Amino acid sequence: MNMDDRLGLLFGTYEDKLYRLARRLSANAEDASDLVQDTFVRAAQALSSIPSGAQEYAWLVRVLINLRRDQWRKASVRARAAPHVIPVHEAVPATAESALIAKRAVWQALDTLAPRRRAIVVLAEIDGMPPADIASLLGVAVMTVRWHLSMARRELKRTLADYMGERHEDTHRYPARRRSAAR
Amino acid sequence: MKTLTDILRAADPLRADAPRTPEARDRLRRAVLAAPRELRGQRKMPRMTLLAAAVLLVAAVMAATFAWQHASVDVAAVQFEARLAESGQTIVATRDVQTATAVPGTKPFTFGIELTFTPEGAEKMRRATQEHIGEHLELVVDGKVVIAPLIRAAISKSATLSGDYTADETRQIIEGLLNQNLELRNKK
Repeated sequence: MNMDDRLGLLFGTYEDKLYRLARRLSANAEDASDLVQDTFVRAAQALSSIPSGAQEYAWLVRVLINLRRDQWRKASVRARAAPHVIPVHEAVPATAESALIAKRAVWQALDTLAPRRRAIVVLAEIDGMPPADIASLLGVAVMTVRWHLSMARRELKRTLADYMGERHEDTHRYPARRRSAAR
Repeated sequence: MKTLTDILRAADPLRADAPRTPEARDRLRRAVLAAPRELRGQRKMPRMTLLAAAVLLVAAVMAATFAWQHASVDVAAVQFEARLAESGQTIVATRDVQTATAVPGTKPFTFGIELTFTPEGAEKMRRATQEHIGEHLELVVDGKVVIAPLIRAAISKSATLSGDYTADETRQIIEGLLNQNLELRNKK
């Protein structure tokens, strides 16, 4: 099998799954497409070192998350120069707009998580993947996955308390951006 | 009360986005498949350069090896002896040397030479030094006393010429000693 064939096969097999993950890690569909394209370009550069079989997908996922992490770091540096505040406790109107506001708040909250932690949350909470499978996919210990999941849930619950019908007293004292920067 | 899973699933962007069109997918596919061809074009030149560098390196190593071997033939024979300072009696000579190795000298960038003796040479050294403890031993290279240590205990297997030689001198002495040694043994 030549390079083009293998790359074509990888694209055909995993592109959709990678796009779904990329979309949940990116701000918009265009960024997600770029992320998937960059992942396959990396794959094209290292086709001979991509393991075959079940590890193919894991390799691609790790590359995708690493690329996203690089973007996230650059964006974090830019954001530090022009800080913004996440509206943690803004009033939630009981209209049709409230759903949209809630979604934005959720994705803003997810944006504060480092890409690997965010990927773990997405895979566990939205895809319903068990921690052991996530650990195998990301090449980390199950304990690491559980820890990231626990930390992420705590951070998200603090930030999204209003939308979950809960209220955490320390939310005002520790803004979400500061907590994420401490990682 | 909603759970975190509920609100994350409700906010899943894939539910809100318009479905991806086949054209968008095809564009992405073509962009990805074009990448390896571009990479092959970029790698062509460095590979050729790498190959040329490898050939030059091999040629340089072969030339250096040849020069080293050729130069070592012309090294002058070196005479070594270890003798008692008082009586001038020779204990061991070049033929008794089994190996000669460069060791760090006492000053920076200088070398000493460690000599090990053949079993017969070692036995001669042991006997002579045991009988003459408290006297000086002279290690002589080409008629010149390099070092004259005091014999404090019996010496047998090895001795070190701590002459603080330069790298060139060290090489000449070692090769001279070993060449001379080889000639003497062949004459036997």
